[in-house]
Amino acid sequence: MGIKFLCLTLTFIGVICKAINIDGQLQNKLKKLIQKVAQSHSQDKSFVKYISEKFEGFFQNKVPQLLPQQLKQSEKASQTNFIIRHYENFLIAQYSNLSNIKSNIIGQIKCQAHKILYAKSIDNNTNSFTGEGFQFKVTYDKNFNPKYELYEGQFLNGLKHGRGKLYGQKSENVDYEGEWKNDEMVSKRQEKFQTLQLERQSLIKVIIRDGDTIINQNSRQIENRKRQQNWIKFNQQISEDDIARLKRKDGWFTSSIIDSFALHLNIKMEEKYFQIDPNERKQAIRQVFIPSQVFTSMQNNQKDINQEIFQKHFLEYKMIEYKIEKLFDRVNFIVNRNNRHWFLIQLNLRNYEMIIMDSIKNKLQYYTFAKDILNQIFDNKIKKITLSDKCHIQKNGHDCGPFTCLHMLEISEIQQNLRNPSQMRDFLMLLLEQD
Amino acid sequence: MSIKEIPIILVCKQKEKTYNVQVNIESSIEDLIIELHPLLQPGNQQQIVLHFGNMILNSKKQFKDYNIVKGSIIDIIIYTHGGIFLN
Repeated sequence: MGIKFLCLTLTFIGVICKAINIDGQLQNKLKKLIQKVAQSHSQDKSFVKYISEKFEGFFQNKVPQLLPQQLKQSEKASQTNFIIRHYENFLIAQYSNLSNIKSNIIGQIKCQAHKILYAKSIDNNTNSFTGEGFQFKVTYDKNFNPKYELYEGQFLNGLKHGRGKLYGQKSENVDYEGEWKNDEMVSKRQEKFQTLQLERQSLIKVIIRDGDTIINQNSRQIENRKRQQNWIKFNQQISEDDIARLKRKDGWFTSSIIDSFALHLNIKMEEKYFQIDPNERKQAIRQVFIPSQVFTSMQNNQKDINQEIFQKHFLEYKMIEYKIEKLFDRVNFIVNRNNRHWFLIQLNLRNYEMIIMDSIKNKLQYYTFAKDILNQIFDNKIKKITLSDKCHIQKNGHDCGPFTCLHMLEISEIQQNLRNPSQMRDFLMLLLEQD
Repeated sequence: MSIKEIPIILVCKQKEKTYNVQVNIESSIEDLIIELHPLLQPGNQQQIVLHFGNMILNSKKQFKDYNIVKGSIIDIIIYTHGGIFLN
């Protein structure tokens, strides 16, 4: 009875608004009101269905920048066993069919900027989860270097509390397992691993074994050779040489430069995506850039290794068996070919079309190696390669790096007034310079 | 002097190499990188960096600054570069 009344009232408001053609500000206020009502009744599936069907088109006159050119409703509908609901600053994904998923502790996923929570049931009205879950969190320092946290265990009011396991960064190494109280470890042992206590004169000792053979044993002092100054930004080691390459205007881009820019865009895109109005966000394209080192490490005919590399990069999606297509629409690979050339691959996860953005015109066959490698990750779903006709074309022997960055910027739809390689180099120089 | 050593595993996918390494947790990351250069022989001007759990290890820091434990897997990344493809 109550829900029917609410539906009728909201429909009435909708009809009136349409009739009098209300302005943007009032429209936004109304959207928020309807969204709040929808959120408070989100446990009721019929109500949520009604709201999404009736109000979706009506309140989407203003198209956000991340929206695709055409509606992607049909694409989203294909995710039958994965229902996503959008709320202010976060989304909750729910499985309707858990048989495909290994873990039996999850039923819902809450995603927000830089944070993911997996649990059986998540209350969307509160930010303070209580129960058993698996949480991924990333924070960035002033140089945008990430600090990852993977925690599996009990929570109380959003804090780690009870029994839980903390992994070392984004790895499967358990850093601490035990009791937690108000987000703090109760007693972290000083040494969790067995160490060999030895008496030695040398401060430095590195023994490297390849199989059983010792191939290098360092007992000498490290030579005091002149080393290049470097620093860490955007999870990359930036050197004076990188800055010189950017300054020279004809220097080749290193992976540290290009992968820094990928993280810069990933941070911005993630924040922007969750700032989109929830009613509009469901049509927005969510995408991510994968640093070049991931693809560079992959090789053809090494399916297991390639999958391992991919899964290690996306360890936070382990609970959903790395099925990132459930939560992302596009995944963009930065590719370095033979340590000579940069280009970009955009993989559309809705139709598995591989779009190439390259500043040099190559034949389609040139990219089949990449299709073969990615098919090992995406279960041979990639059938089509398309050469984008929206690419900048380089006319020299040094600008494929900056052009790849420009292509990345354009598809990210992050607003930055950079139009040519020179401007991109200047921007990156400022971004990556040592503080 | 008391020295603590731990065995770790270094993996370089780019060169398809895996090394078992015994390191002093008080040695710097750079100490190990220097030892890796003659083994991996990266190209001219290419840098070697180490990653643990998707996070880069600062070459100026020591192993003990990170939560690297016995048996931890550390990735060796060789930076690449590019300007144009030449057939």
